[in-house]
Amino acid sequence: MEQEKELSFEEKLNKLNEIVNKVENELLPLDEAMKLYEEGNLLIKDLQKTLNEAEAKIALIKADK
Amino acid sequence: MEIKNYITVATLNTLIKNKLEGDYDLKNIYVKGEISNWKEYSSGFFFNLIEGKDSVISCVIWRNNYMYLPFEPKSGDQVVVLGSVSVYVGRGTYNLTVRTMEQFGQGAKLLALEALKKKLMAEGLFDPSHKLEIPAFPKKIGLIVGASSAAEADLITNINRRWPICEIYVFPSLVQGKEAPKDLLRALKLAESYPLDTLIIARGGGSNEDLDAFNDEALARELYSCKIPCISAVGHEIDTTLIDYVSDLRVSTPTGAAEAATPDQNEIRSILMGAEESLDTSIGYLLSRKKEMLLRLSERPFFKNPASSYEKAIEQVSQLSSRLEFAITHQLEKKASEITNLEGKLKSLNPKNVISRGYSMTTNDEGKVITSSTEIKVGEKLHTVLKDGIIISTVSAKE
Repeated sequence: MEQEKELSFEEKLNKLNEIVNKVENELLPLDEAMKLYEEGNLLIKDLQKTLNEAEAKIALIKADK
Repeated sequence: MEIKNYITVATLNTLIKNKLEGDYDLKNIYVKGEISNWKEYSSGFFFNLIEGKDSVISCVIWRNNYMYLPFEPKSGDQVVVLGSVSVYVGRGTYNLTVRTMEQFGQGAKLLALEALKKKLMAEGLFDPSHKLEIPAFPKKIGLIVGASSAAEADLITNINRRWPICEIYVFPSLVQGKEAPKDLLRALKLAESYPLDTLIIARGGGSNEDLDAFNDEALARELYSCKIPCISAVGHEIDTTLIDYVSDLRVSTPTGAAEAATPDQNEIRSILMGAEESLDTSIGYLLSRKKEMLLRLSERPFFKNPASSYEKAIEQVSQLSSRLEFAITHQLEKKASEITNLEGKLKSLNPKNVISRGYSMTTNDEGKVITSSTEIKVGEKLHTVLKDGIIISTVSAKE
């Protein structure tokens, strides 16, 4: 997880995309599927947090005007 | 007997006039004498040139010649005049009509001065290329002037009027007399030890002797080596002293020196006002243009709706999120259906199901299923499993 912190928003989005494609298109061992599912959900949470922060920041900047 | 061949007085005087005025010995002659009885008339100046008590000749100098004299003659002056004898026919008198004159004794001095001037010029002391530029906006001006002289007062008044922020340093000096050259040199050296922007050496008009101090060689050389830009204003327009040749700028009056040394504050003020106005105008124009640019930029979609920049990302994330949910559900469903399949298969393979349809299963005493007659011997016990019970029997024969 430490390494993923260093990824940019776009890189994380790409990774999520890869995970989803893999789960969608391949028949995976359950363990692996569950692992990917967990990782995907963590990425989704992380990306949403970033977006929420950006939204809040824009709102703040607008309020400051 | 009546004398017939007489002439008139007028004729005689005319003859005398023609005789005298036609004689080259009486034309353009230099005569030395002392001026006496100097009198001014509207047409010119009448005076006598005398020698001792016994000799006198009437003289006249007309105004058109008088104005070019290098000094102001007065009774008692020893002079050498240049003139021609002329006769006044009406009165039968003659006089010396003077074209120019100089003070006696000045001639030799003037020659020496000319020689000195030539020497210094040859050495380059008057070179225009050596002349320093007079600073346009001086902060400190030095004055070398006679103590409490009119020149000093004139300079201070005019400098203060034109450029009052300038500091004035006065270096009073003797400006005439035998000690003047030495004293001027002292004042100049003193002035050079101050951080002056401009130096002015000034003295009002005077006779040639009065200005002699400003023809001093040592003074001229010192001024040549002076690093401070120097303006000289010595005597009148027609008096040019060595100092005037050596100085960086020569003007004819102390007022002129003040004007050359300083800018006029009123001019500067109006220039500044003009500059301020045009600056205001251009900065205003610049500002309004930038404002307009900013307005146009702020109306771009990004600023109008900043959410647009991340809405797409939100959409992407949410789509990926539901796809992941769907995919994982699908994966789990597949696993579940596999299990169901296997369960069904497993069920159909249960031997009890076969027995229930009327088949039986035979095992030996250890519970091992007997599928071949070779697996059992005569005399051993058989366990036959039926749907509702087990029959135990003994093998009596094998075929």
